[in-house]
Amino acid sequence: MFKQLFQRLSVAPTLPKTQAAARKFDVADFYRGPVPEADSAQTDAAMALDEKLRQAYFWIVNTAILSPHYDVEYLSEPPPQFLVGDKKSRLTLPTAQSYSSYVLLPLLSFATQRKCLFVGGPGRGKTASAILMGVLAGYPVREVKRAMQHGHPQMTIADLLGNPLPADLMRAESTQDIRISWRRWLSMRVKIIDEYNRIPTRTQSALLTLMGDGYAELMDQIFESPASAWFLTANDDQGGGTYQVIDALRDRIDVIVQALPFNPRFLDQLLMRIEENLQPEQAVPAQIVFTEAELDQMQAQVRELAIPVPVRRRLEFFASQFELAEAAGEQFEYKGKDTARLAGTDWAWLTAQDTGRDRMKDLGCQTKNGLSVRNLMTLLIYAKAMAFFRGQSAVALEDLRQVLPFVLNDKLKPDLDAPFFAVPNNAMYKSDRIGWLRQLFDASCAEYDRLDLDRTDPVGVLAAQFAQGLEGLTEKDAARRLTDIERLVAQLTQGRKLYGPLHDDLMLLKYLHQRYRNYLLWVRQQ
Amino acid sequence: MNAPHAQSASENALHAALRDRRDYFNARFESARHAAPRLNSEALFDFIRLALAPLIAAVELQLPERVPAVVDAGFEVGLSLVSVGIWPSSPRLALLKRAYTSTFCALSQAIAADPQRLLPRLSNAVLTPGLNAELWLACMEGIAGALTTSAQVLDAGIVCAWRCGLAHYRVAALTRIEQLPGAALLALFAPKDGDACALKAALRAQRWHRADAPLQSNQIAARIGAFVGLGGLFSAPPTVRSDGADLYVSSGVAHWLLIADSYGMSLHGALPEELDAIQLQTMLPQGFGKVFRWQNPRAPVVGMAGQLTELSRWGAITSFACTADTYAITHARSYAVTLIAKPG
Repeated sequence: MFKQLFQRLSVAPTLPKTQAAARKFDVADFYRGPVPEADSAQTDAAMALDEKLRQAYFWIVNTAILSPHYDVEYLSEPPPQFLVGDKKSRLTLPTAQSYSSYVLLPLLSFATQRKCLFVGGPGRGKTASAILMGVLAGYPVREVKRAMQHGHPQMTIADLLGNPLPADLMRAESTQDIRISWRRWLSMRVKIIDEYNRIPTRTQSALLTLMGDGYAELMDQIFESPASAWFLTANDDQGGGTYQVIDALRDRIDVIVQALPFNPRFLDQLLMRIEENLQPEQAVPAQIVFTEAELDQMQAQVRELAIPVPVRRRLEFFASQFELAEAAGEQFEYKGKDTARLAGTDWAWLTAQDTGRDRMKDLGCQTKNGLSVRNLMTLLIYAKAMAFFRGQSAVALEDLRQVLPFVLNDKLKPDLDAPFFAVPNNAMYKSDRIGWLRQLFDASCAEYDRLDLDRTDPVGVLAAQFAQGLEGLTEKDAARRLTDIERLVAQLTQGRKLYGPLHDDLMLLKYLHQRYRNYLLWVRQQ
Repeated sequence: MNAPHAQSASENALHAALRDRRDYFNARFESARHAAPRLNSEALFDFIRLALAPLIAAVELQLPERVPAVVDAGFEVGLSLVSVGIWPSSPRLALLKRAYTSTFCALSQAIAADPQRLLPRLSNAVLTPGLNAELWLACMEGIAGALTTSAQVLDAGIVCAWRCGLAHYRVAALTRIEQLPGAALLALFAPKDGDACALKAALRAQRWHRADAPLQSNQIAARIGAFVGLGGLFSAPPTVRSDGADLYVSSGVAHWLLIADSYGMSLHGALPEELDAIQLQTMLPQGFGKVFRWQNPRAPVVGMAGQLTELSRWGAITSFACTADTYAITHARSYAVTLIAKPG
């Protein structure tokens, strides 16, 4: 079926780039023109997957979602900026193609088969957006709606996963003999859980297994679920649901996007939808629907994107800021916030022990925790996905900067009693987690630049030296490197305050020292 | 949206198809109007009455069970054409009408089998810039009886496009003539000897071969280009140069890649840097006249349409270029490029 007008996609490339002149005469052009073809996705040469993803994005923001916001701002040159109001709020008009996080982050989750949580008040399009993602994966709207799990206080594990076949229950001599009628949604590539914070705690645990480990278990029977993109919705993610969401389940969620308020200036479009009974999810163009093979291919292409060392180093530096709690442990390795959390240490007492450090300058003082390995892996994946979406061959610092707040939202917990939040100009960050995380990364990058770590990184030099391998290293060289490490440790520790990045540098030097020490012992035994 | 009024008995099938899925078509119209506010229901009715109805009548005679599918496809094409204003205000409207009322009817068997693919593609083809669409429709109509599948129709469309002036499709067309029935090929090129195999070989071998009017190798094959004020592209007398494979034309500050053969020519914008490395040759090479056995090399004479022509009649030669099969010459007093078929 031809579907073209309401379903019209951008004919022009969604991200025009200057390309070297390459004249190709494609006979397919003869049959292209103002009349689009419904099945062109199948009949023409396959559209590049990043272009297809951008087409999907622009179709959603132009057709499906009313009043999109451009909060993911990219700049190609200094932008026009305006200060408005008593608080001198800054309005920036981006100079490069910018995006709406509410559409973009779910799409990146779709592309990477990760887990996205929509939060926001009722009636803001959270569920509708999730359904669109299901349709993009090629499922009919009716099937997506039927497969959507609606959280409610009486939801059982059987409701979620399936039921044993009654006949088997009567005949079976062991649980192994009982076949399970697994719910259809378990095998889908897009899974939607509506109002997940209304699911009872016990059922949440079954959900956790499915989300975290990719399988469902019922009466000794296992169902292996395919890699899927998950979309969950919650009216209130701060404990306002019927049940408290278990921490492990929250931690499995990769990104959180907030439904921003509707701009009444778009009321005419809303009115038209009512009058004409338009339902965008019913009219998703075939050209932006992804096959399972394309989903797998897209994931692989995202993973292949490189993260240049300078970008990675800034992320390392940023991640180093937060875990250190000097008073939490005696041994260097245990000087972490997690040590204090596990011991149930009073947070106010712990922060009171911080003496001497500049608590305004130390970014670590703004948070109650550090970043987990899972957080960092998620961040790397989404940074790559962002670069993929933008048609780049490698991740740019701005890609990382833009996805970071959405990935770390709910992961990096702010210490609202920290001096930073007491500054009047920073008070808004108490409620604006996205803005807070973005300024946190910006502040980290500014410090990185101040220390000139791109050019002056003696610890990095030693790490790079070690990365070349120990094979063929002479005893003399190993001993010299040990001396270098000890000299650098002495230099770094002399009369300096202990901040997160320094702590991690010292831990790395300790690691290198130990590896060279072991090697030296081995060489001497040969 | 109400269905158009019945015009004749032949529209019964169309009306039935529209009536059976009335809600769907109405919803499609509403959603289309959401994206294209200029979508006009009267214009759409006009398209259905004047273009779709004759085609449906033809399909009903051949494959009545395919009528609903063709109506679906045709309705969507109509929505597209009307929403962008091509129907009813394009200069090519008459050609579109002819396509639907005559050519597509002749192709109705193939269209009925694959309407979703063929109808939009063939409609777009009629609107292709640079194509002599009138001739293309005539060519397609002339061979329609020999085309039974959608693949054959699409292949024939490319071959006809080349035959009707889109010289840059020559290579693609030469590949596709292998897929066409011999009868279609003979009808299209009308070789004097009626030998399809010999025709294919000759077309492949010589760019300037014309099966219906063989060209001598010392004749002017074409004079192409014109002054911008007379509908051409050249603001000044052009010059021509070649990298050995392709011909490039410059006029004023603009540059083009020139592709020409016995069935037409096309100019494609080129960047100045593409021509940078190619030297402009302002004189005929030594011995050039001998190739043509010209009596007076200073005033070379070549045949054109059976007449002997002095190249100097267009003024002094300003540039000369050659490729494997073509000589190109420009003149001081002419806005056209003279192309001469190279001796084979």
